[in-house]
Amino acid sequence: MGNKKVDICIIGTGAAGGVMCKELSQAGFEVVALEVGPFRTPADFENDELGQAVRFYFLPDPQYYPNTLRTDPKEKAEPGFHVARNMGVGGSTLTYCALSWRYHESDFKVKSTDGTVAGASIEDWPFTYDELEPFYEKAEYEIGVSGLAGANPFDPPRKSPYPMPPLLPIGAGQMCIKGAKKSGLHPFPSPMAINTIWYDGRPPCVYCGFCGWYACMRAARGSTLNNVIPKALATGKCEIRPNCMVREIAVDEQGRAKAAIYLDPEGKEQAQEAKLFLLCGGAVESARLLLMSKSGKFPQGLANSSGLVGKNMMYHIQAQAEGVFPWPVNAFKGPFSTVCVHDFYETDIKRGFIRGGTIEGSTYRGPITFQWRRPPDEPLWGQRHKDFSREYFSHWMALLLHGEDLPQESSIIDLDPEVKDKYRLPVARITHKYHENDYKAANYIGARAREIMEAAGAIKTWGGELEELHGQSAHHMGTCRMGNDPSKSVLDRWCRAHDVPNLFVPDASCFVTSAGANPALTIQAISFRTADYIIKSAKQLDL
Amino acid sequence: MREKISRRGFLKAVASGATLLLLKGVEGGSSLSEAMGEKAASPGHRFFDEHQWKTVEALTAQIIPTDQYPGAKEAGVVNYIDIALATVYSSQQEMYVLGVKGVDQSAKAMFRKDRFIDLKPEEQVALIKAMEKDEAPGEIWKELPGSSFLFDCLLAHTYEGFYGDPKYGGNQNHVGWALVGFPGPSQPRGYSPPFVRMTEE
Repeated sequence: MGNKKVDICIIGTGAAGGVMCKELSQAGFEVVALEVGPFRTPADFENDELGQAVRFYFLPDPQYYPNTLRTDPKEKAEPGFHVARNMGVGGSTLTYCALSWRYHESDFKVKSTDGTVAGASIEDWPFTYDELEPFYEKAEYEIGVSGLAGANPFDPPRKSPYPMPPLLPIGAGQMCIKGAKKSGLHPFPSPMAINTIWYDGRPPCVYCGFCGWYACMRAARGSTLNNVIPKALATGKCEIRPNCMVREIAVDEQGRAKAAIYLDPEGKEQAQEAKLFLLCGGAVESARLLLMSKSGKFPQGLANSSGLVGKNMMYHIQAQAEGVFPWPVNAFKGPFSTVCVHDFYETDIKRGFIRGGTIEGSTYRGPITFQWRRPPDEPLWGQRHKDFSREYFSHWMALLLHGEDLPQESSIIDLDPEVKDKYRLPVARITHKYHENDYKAANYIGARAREIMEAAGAIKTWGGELEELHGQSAHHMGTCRMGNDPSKSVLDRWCRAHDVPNLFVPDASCFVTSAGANPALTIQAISFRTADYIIKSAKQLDL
Repeated sequence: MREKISRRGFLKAVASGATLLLLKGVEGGSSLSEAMGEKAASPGHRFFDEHQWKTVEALTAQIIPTDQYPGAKEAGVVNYIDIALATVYSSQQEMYVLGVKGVDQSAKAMFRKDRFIDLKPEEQVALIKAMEKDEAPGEIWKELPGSSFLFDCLLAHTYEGFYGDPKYGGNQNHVGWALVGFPGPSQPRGYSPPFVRMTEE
């Protein structure tokens, strides 16, 4: 219990936490960051499909860190691997696909734009795209995003170009360009947090092929482990403590956050006091920690007077259209995505659903995971299966859809009444069911993705329907939504808890709606914005 | 049909990592040398005894058969599974022990032969098809979540042992990678786009 009180305690060192470490330590605050996983370096990473994309060395082992899932609140939730989140310094940015989007202007005002839909809890965000724009720009330059400004006709307005030119199209990207153009669509280079030139002291990508799900061996990808965290440590003001599991945020008599109670690497309980606390564990773990932090002042969990902590949880809808071509596409070469299509992003009510999503040119498969990728009428073993592998491994590609998952108040994270993790703490129980709109959107856009491949010359295409992955997509959002009304939201417009003046949650928990594209850059833009607010309001925050 | 769809769903889940619960083992624990202790039944084997080795080898050889190109047998898939069970997949040892007894019971019930390895190739295929549909006969399957449970794990492990990095004990002489034209790890050189040269532009 001998930890010195610091200015700021950050829980989690991923997309949000990494940014916070840098911004606040560079501003001169004393920062301690507690991270549940280990502190690895690029020297620990390998081009190894079995280790990284099959055994998932970086993901929590469900024997020790399970989550439970049910689709119906009347059912008992089953334990298993239901939340894809990396444990370790860098968090999920360690292995993310690095798609780095600015959300569209309409994404911040879905209720005003599209109205409400039965069963969904749609709201507008408490700020607009314009307000976040400078922080998107800052995030692109600090994280290191490559792309081509102006290439996507559906992009929101921007003031500066990307700091690096875009990646060259990989095989699947070439096919996506060809097919999408023939279909009258508008393919453009993916905005990626992957270096294409030497940038910020890190080398360019060499298209090695071991990308999404893999940690980058040469730090060409802009994981927070590689870009912001080294700068935070260089200030001498930021200490990162790996392998530490926070189990409670304790409060004082005034109801202010007082200390993070955590289990150190030896399993011994410790307390870290700070003037300000930032929860950056992701939408599942941040909500879980608030719910575990019950006290006389906060009997329903910390910052939960609205009863909304854990509610309105969202994943992105996901569908994968697959196809095989007469020529090699070599989907095992290059990064995860180099070409995207946004023609199905905004609402077109003629399609029978609201909102939409992004078609991403390609998802990488190594030879092990490729064995499961078969048309529905193909066997999974025997001579025919072997022949298919031999003929089509290099001729196969996929177009992946990530689309908007509408928020529902019935999609919930709470504490499982029975199942515990290896620290004997109750695990996050997920109750989640896809909305009818999700099926319509995924299946419609998935079918368009197949058409793109067919137009590009595919011999055969299949798939493209909603995959009911629940948390296995690494995109978890919205368990502590922002808003101006404390009875209808958990956080204010700066990600500060309405109930607790010295507690912020700047990770994806704050999202009001999920938008139709990967969340990382938006998490980071929000983090830069919140950091800016904290620095400017240091006096009022008693820092 | 419904059954079929849900089965595909399960396999999709396997492909995306949902079976970590099945596939992951003891965190940090149970080292290879520990497992090789008293249990090692045959020289060169870490976990399997001779009969288990031969049975699992025969099963995997039907999943990826040998034709003009090497199959699971030549790749040493059983060696991969043996090492994995002695180490990171140690929580699945019992499933394999019961599973080998299970396929022998099914061989008896379906073809009146004592052991799976005594079956003709087409009989082995018929038995594995029954496992895939969770219809393989035999009392022992009641001790597992069904014969399809073993089948699903066997499928995943055979893919891993045939197409995974040779350092894990399978894919010997890179036969799996050679079959599909996968060059293996590419760092630090990587590749240079473009990757498609279309013949019909």
